[in-house]
Amino acid sequence: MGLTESLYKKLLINVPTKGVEVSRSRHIKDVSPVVTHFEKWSDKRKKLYFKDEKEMMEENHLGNFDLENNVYGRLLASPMRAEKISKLKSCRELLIPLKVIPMVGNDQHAENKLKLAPILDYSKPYKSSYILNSASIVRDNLAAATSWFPLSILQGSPSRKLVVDATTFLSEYNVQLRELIISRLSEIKSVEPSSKDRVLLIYDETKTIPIEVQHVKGAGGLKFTQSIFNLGCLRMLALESMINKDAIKEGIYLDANNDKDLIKHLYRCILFSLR
Amino acid sequence: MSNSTMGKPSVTITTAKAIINSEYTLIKSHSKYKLPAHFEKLDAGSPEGRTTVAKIFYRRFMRLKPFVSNMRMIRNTYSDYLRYKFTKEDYELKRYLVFNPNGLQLKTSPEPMGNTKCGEKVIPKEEMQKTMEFILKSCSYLPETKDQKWDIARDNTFCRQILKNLLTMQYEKYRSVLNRGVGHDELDVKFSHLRTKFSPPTKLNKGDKKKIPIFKVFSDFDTTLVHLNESLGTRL
Repeated sequence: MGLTESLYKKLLINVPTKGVEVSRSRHIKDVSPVVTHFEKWSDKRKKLYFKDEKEMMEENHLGNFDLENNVYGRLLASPMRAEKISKLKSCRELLIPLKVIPMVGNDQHAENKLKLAPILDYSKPYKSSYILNSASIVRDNLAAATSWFPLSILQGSPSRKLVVDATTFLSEYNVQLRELIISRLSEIKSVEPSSKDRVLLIYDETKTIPIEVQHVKGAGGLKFTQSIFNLGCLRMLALESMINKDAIKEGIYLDANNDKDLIKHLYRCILFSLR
Repeated sequence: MSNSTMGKPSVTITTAKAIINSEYTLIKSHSKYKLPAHFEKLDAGSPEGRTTVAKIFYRRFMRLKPFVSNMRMIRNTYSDYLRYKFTKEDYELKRYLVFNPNGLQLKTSPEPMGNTKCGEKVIPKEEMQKTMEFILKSCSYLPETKDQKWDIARDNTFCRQILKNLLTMQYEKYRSVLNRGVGHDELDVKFSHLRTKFSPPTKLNKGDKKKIPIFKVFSDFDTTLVHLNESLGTRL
C-alpha cells in the first residue's frame, strides 16, 4: 500500500503472545453492563420478588391484613368509575350504579323508550353508569337526570327516547335498599359476638357519630377490629325495633367474614343518608 | 437466558440482582427497603431521634417509587403525596373531623389539634411501620402457579388496588384545582369537604353549590380511607 511499516504498526491490535485461552477468560470478565445490569433498562414493571409465602411472612414480617373481609378495604379496592354529576372518578362501590332498561307498556312508542333506574349492585348484563351515593345531591340534580345515561346510549340513535322518572327515582332506590337491609337482618340469627373482626349495629338517634372503629381484645388475647354502625341517622323505625328489641344486649353483631354483603350495604346506606 | 414454563412460553433473564421475565423486573434483594437493624432502639421521642426516624421512613418510601408504577405521572403523584404526608398533612385533624362530624361546632376553639406545627408532633412509629408494610405488600410479587397459590397474594392484590385508587384520587385532587377550582389546598390542607359533611352552610352562592358534589366524592373516599387506616393501624 505504499506505507512504511512503522506508520501502520500503531494501528494493529496488540494480540497477547500466550495464546487464545487467556483472551477468552478476559472476554468473559468484561461482559457488558447491558447484560449484567439488565434490570436497569429492562423497562418492565418493577416488583419485589419473594420466593414464597414463608419468605414474605416470616423472614420479612409482612402480615396478612385480611382485606378481603374488611368492608373499607373492599370498597376502596373496587375499580374506579366516572361519576356523572361531579364528572370525577371514584370507586365503583362508593357510587350508585344505574341501569338502562327498555320500557314496557301499552304505549305504542314504548319500544323506543329507555328508562334509567338505580340498582343496588353492579351487574353485568346492563349497560351502566354511576352517580354519587347521596340522597340530597341526587335530589338536587334530578333535573339533569337524562344526562346520566351511559355515553354509548347518549351518542346512539336519536330516535330513542330517554326517560328518567324523577318522582320515583330516589324513593324506589331507597325502598329497595331498606327492604334488602331489613330482610337480611331478620335472617341473621342472634349469635354470640365472634372474636374476629366484626360490626356492631346500634340504633341511637341522640348520638351524632354514625361510624366508629375500635380495637377490642378477644378471649385469646388477640386484638381485632370492631366497627360500630349507628343506624340512628337512617331514621328507620323498623330498624330501631329490630336492634333494640333486647334490652340487655347492646345491639346486633355482624361477622365481617360471613355478612360481607350486608355490611357493605349498611355502610353505603349510611353514606347515602349523609350529605 | 432460559425458556421458563410459567404458563405461556416466555424468556427469563437472570442477573445478579434481578429476574426479568416478559412482564416484570423482579428485584431479589430487599435490604434497601427494609428497616435497619438498629431501628427498634431508636427513640422517636427526642428531637434528634424524631428526625432520624422520619428520615429512615421517608427514604424507604421514596426508594419504593419505581415499584409503584412504570408511568411517570403516577410516580410523581406518589412522591408528591409522600412529601405532603411528611411535611404538610395534619392527620390528627383529618381523623378528628371524620369521627367528630359535629365536634368542631361545639368546641370553642375551632381547631383543637391544628395548632401544633408538624415539627412538634410525635412520630407515629407503629403506624408508619404498618404503612411501610402495606406499600411493600402492594409492590411485591409471589411466583404463583396453577397448583401453588397463597392467600397472602390475594391480600397483596387488594393492597395494590387500594394504593392505585388512592393515587388516582390524589391525582384528581391536584388536577381539579385548574378545572374546578377545588383542589389540593382546599381538600388536603383545610379539609373543607370533611367539615361540611353534616351541616351544610345554609346560604350558598352558585360557586359553592357546584362544589357540593365534588366535596362528596372526596369526602366519601377520605372517610372510608380513615376508617381503613383505623382498622389496619396504617396511615395511608
